[in-house]
Amino acid sequence: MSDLHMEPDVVERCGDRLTETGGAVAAQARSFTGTRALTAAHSGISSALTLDFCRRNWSDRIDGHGTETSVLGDGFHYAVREYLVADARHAALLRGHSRVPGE
Amino acid sequence: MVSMAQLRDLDVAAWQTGADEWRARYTNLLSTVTYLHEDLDPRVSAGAWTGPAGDAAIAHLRGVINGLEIDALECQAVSLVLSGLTHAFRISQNSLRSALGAARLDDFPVTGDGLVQLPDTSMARHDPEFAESARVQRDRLQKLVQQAVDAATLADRKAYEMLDHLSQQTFQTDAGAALNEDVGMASKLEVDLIAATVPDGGPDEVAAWWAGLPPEDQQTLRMAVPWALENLPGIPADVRSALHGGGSYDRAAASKWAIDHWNDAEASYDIFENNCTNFVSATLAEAGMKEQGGYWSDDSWWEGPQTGNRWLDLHGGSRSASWAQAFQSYEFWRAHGTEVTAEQAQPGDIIYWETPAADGGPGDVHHSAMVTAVVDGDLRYTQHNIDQVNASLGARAPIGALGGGHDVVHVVRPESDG
Repeated sequence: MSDLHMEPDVVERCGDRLTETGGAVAAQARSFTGTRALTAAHSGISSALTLDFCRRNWSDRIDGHGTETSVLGDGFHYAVREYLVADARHAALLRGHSRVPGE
Repeated sequence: MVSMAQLRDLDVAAWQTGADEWRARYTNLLSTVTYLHEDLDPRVSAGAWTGPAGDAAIAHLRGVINGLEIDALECQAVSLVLSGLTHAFRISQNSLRSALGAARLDDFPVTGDGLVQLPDTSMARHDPEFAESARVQRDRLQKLVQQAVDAATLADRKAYEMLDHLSQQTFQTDAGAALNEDVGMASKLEVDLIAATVPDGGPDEVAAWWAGLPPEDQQTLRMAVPWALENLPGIPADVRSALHGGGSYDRAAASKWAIDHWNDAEASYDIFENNCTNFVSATLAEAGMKEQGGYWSDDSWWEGPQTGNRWLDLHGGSRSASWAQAFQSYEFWRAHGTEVTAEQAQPGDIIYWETPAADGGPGDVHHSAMVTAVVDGDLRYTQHNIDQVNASLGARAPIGALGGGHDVVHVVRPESDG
């Protein structure tokens, strides 16, 4: 196990990027307008019917990964906040205070 | 089944848009994967966050990257299937429209379900000679219509099966399987769908079919499935000759042989642990390339009789280095052929992969394969150990780069008889 250490600024920025990336991935899942038009216009063709099924399945999975990426970004942000609070508390304890000033 | 009316009225451009859309998903998702893999992961794992939570965060991030990479690859697989279907539908539709145009020109009515009827004229009713020749022409037109509809139906069925498979791959967790199996099968299928448009009728029907295709479709077929055209009676002699190439080496036959033998078990050329270049040489030889030089020559390409004794065949000097080793093969065929760009590649060429040296010196040419098709400018190669058939260079190269590989690709056009 590694020693506990965090560079909050770096992790915060990574969290920001993950949140942005998650949003972009989810947008990818929604942008199948050409495929929707194609399957609607060729409803009597077998491969068009299956393509529509394919689109819905993969759209759901890509959207799920977009959400997961955003949630991971939120996790990074949460961890940074928790780390900073714990760090401040430890600093206060080391200075002889029982509470973080301002709490 | 695709009906005559469905094929005639099909919006081929919409299928191309669909293929482009799935390809864009692949490109965009792969770009996201590259960013997360090459930029974000190193930032976190370089020590910015250590301890159990940091380790868990990195593991979770890598899980997300793996999932997105699979999404990208499966979108690429769907794109390849749709691209093949677009080609198959376009070629079939152009064949059908050509046949319908010929029928209209000569007053042969065609029913809504594709039945070609005799002209309703007094000559057809009262002139036996004319009626007989009209029947012959009607039968030929009927075959052309039916061939086009059958080709579209076959392509639709094959694409349906593959899309059905891909739609169920959302539980895939192995990026290697997504690339080697799903993208690999889709890349092969794209070429198979184009091949399915080639009719197997008599010379007259084939000649009429070929003449009715626009030059773009003819070019698609020449580059994707030359082996399906080269020996087909009815294809113009100049086209067949160009597909063969000059000299004893038959370029189209090389593609066909490689495609037919890519995954042979216990093949005669399976001498070494890795037989990629052995496979390339076996393909060239099977396609008529004559051996060059001999045992005492430094500039040679040959294989001697195999004794059946594995040790002797491995170490007994029973083949030139250029026969079985990628670097020597590259050096030999570059000297006895022409190196071309990947954009100029044609079926029957050889493709080599070189890992550049860190110091800028000569790199390591470590792998070779046969170019067996080119589809929309994307080079398709066939190799033995690790077995792949009509694998897409465009689909696979970015994934190789993701794993840290920065191989340079060389394409060499071997010349017959040195």
